[in-house]
Amino acid sequence: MLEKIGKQTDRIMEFLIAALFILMVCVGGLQVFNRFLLNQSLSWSEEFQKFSHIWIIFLTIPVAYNHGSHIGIQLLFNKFSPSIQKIFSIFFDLLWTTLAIAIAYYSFIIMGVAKFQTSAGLGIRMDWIYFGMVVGGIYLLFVSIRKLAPQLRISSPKKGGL
Amino acid sequence: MLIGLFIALLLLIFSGAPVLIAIGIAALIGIIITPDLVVALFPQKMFAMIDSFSLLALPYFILAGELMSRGGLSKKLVEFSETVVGHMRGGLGHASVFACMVFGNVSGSAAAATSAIGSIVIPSMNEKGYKPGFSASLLGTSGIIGSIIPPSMVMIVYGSMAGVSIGGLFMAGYIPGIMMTVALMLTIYFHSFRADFPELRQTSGKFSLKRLIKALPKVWAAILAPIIILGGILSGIFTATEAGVVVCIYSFVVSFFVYKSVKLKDLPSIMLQAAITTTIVVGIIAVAGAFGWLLSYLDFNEVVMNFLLNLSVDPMIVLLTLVVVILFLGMLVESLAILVILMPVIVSISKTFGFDPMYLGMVIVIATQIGATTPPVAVGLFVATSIAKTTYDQTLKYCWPFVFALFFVLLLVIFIPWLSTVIPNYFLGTQ
Repeated sequence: MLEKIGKQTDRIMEFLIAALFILMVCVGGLQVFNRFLLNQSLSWSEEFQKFSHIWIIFLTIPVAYNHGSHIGIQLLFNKFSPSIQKIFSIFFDLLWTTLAIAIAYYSFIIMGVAKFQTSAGLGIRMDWIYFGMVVGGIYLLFVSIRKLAPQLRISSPKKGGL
Repeated sequence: MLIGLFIALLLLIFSGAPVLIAIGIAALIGIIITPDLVVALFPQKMFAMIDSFSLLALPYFILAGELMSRGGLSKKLVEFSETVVGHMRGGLGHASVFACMVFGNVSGSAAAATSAIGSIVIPSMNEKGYKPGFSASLLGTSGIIGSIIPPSMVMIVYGSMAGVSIGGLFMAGYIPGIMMTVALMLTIYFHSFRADFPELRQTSGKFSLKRLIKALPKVWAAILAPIIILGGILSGIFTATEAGVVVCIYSFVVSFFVYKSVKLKDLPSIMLQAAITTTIVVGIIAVAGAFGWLLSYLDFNEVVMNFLLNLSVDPMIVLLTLVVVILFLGMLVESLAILVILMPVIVSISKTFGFDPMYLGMVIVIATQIGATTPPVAVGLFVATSIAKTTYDQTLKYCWPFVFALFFVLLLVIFIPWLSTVIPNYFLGTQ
């Protein structure tokens, strides 16, 4: 059940990231086109790209974690016995969980302050930008729980994949 | 407290934790246990670190590189490079170094150059009897040319944080990048005379101008890219970030309509892959930003500056000490993280001693990149080792001559400032 909802969420998030990235490139292109060919600058395009970038980064941190893409130094890790590797692996997932909670909760706190500020170019409330960090943090928490759940089930040595 | 933070960080990194989580947790715990600090500063400093328009050049250049690689550019580049330098002793080795240099014109990352060129060239090297550890060492070190020849991710990060012209840094990278290419090619050439490297005496046929002219149209896309990037930046048409956007659109057109090797249905997966590659880098920059801020709050920068100034007031000795520190840390920690964390110290040194910003930038950029290729923690060698399907121990057996060749270039760049200042000064005027 958890896996099914998880896969669905992954798909939605990955679609959202790709769509946001395409939109960001298009706005960037529009900015260059406007300035270079029409000789007039857009007031909002820089902020739009900056804020999309922040959203993309915080949504993709969990995706990269899910894909096992984050850089790590595996030299010593690979020399450990499988059972020690498993303990470390659970420990790292718990660290991800901690980081996720910290990012989601404290970004939410910042949102409370940021809602009184408006961005200069786009004119939107700044809490919307921090909201990307909250969503990314919650998604990161979800991914870390999905990774932890099978490892903590003590009597399920199947596959043994780490 | 400072020492405790660093020990925690190194322990986490060496036990195999992803670099992002290691630095992130060290920063989080540091902020929690420091009196008078609120934890909300942690996400706030991460946000502030990446809330930068200059840094946006990163996703754009990464996407452009991804589009070009998927468009089959790396294979064409290797073929082209073989026609240029393949006739020399160790032809395929030279071709791979040369291909990394040309690939550097569209890609800004060492790991990207290593994997794009390595995945094409290493299987052929294995077929021709090259030792897998040798091939992995060569590609793992040649990749860094990709991050010195513009565009360059590390220069974007340096420029955006130090407030130095990214376009200027790009231009400063050409001479050192070409020197690295020559240095690595000479290293292969010298190896070819050793009795235990008979495979390096092979060449890929004689040089033929006709073949070269025939191969040129296949790689025009990569050769035209720097003209767009630097031409645009130099003529003041666009910033480095906007150049990134233009190169993205250019790469899109080339891969979809000219090479026709990428279909529209591939686009979502290309975008996602580019987003993941960007996040691996920018995620580390974000947490390193929070960690770096905490270190500044704890007066780490003053401690380092006092240490450096007590050591000597001679600018060259201070710079050399800084380079040694960067190289040493680069052996242990991811290179961009070091750059972000040490940036306040670098800026203080720049202000105190009045170094030319392009010169200082180039020395720091090259030092971080060589640090990233120096064992034990050497991302480039990791990538190449896995492509060559060999063991890391085998790679380590052969990597040192290449690392020393790059180190020699760094020394030249340090002692001959002209190498990194002549091009930017010519185009942008003396700063």
